Amino acid sequence: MAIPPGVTEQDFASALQEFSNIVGEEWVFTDDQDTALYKDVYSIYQNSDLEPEVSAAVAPDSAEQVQAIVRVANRYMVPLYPISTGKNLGYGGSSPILSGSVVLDLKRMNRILNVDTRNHTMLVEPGVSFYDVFDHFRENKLPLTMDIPDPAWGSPIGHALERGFAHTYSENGRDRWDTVCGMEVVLGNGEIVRTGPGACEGSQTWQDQKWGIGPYVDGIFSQSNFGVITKMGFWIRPAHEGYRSLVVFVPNYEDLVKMVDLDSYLQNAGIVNGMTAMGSPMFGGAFRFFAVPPPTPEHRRFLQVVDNRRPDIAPLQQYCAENRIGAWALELKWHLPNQISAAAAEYTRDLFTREIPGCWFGDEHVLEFPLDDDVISTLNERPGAPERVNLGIPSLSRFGMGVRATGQPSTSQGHFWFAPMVPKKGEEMLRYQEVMQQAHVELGVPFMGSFYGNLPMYWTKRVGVGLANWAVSTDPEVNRRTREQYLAMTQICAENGWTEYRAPAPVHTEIMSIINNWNDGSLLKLHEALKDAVDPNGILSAGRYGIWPKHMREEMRGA
Amino acid sequence: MRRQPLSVLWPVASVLLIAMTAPAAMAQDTPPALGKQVFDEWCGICHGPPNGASGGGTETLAALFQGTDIPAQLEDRTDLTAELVRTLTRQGRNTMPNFRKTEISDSELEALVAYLVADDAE
Repeated sequence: MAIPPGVTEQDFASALQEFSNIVGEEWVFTDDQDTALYKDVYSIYQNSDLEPEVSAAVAPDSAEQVQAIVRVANRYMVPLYPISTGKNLGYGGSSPILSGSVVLDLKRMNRILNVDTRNHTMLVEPGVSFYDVFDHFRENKLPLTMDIPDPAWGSPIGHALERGFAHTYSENGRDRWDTVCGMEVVLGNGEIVRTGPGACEGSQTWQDQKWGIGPYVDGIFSQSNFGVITKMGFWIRPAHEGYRSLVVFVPNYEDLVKMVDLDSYLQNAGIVNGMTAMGSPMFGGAFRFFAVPPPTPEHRRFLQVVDNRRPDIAPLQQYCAENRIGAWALELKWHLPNQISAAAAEYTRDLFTREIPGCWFGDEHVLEFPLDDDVISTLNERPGAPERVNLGIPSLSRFGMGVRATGQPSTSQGHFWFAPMVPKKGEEMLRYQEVMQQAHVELGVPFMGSFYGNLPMYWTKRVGVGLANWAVSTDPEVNRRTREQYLAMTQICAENGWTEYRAPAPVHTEIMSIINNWNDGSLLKLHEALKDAVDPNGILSAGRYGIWPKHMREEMRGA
Repeated sequence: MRRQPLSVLWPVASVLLIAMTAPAAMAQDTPPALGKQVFDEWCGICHGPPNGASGGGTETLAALFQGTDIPAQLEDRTDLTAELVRTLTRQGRNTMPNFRKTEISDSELEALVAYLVADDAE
């Protein structure tokens, strides 16, 4: 059994005994077989000495038990690593960063505490998954929906704390943190607080208004290690009445700039309220979203990348004009009653026709709600058809990439994602393609599909998220190279002003320093000042997002 | 009037509570309904019928067993052993994650074994 660093065997045994007294012996796990269940199954440190060990796990059932555990941990200086559902796969999973930590497994705290069907809010505990929320709405016939990420076995709270994205509504939807309204937190020092209006005993607006009176502090608990969230409120949505999607194709390479600006106008004016998808049929990308066939062998002849440069535009564009292949495509979605979205779609068609001569439109997909099971079973099935995740229906389809399937005979050990934020301007998106094409080749990073054909993902309205992905290997040398490539790519993007929105735990410390370099890293100093104030012994999630306890800073990040 | 909580303890928790109070029974003693419930909650989302929303478990096994008579869907298999089900649940394989005891308890795992493993495959 591993021992937490700096803790004597006797003190650790005493702490474990006290944990048992709090939660019951059956919810303290110390056998090697049990603690191994908390390793990151997608770890890039697998089969190497760098793999963090888990000394024990403790699974409380209430906020009071969490508070008691944190107090015991402070007394014995035992590092804790809280997880909610532990399914943050590709970003560290349930594994601590500091080897020897005790995992605080909150999966048993899986209660949906309150649902307001009239003001569309809910209050949940950390062990509740998106599947649980969906099933709860359906089984209780509640006319509600919630933006769901893929995979849906994660928790709303964990997703919010990672500032993850989902796939449906542009406001108070896809950007999970944007939907958070009020929380209960056990601080690293063992104090428990409620934020926003919840700070008032008997508050009647805790889940209705994000800010109460005084400083708004909720944000400091995301992507950090200052507290353990034991309850969190969310703004959710009335159930769908209708859904409509429309694909716009534009004919010329240069049309990208105008197409993107029009989408920003439609999104920011509230005329379109669903997630935009963009790509280039001309460059052979993203054909599934747009229901266009993959490039023919003849088309592919124009797509050869020579000397690491974008294929010649003129002959490619001529071929595409002759074969009615769009230079770029934009998929727009409306989550509105169909009567309203019909008018919005008509307005949108007029706008594009007026602003981008020669553009054309694909078929509109329209769904009537409630969906019956037969309709749900057709979702995801056809290119261009709506996906479940677009409609708040749980799915693992996108997460399933990397598995062995027909046409993909090998399988990987997991995912390792790189995701920088790129400004939503057509010129900058093209520059991003050029820079990242070079970076992939120079660093030897495998490409995800047709590079010039893909554009960033628009989970948020004003910024795109570019994606690169590494397959995790059983070979430590391959994974070591992956880590180096990841950090080099972080550096390249930072030099261009593109920074990641989220990152895997094994690279937190390095990327926080690479990215947050303004004014000699003054933001990192603020993080550490906050850490020392609310978690003076550095008990919680040491190293998460590069924030180390005071007594480890010099060793862990040379500060 | 101010809204009232719909509940303070929803059925979400009840699955685990049932399991927690169940004896750590051997596979043959566990109720088949619980095994099916565990399969549907944790396994079927990847190892059910391929429907475009799956995490790809069935597609993976279809590729792996191509050219054999081994079915791709776990519920159709007659060759699964208890040890294989226990090992894959607790250790995972490739991109399939493992499942912790706070997700699938030991007694739930035995119910899953009873559901998936044919009597003569033990």
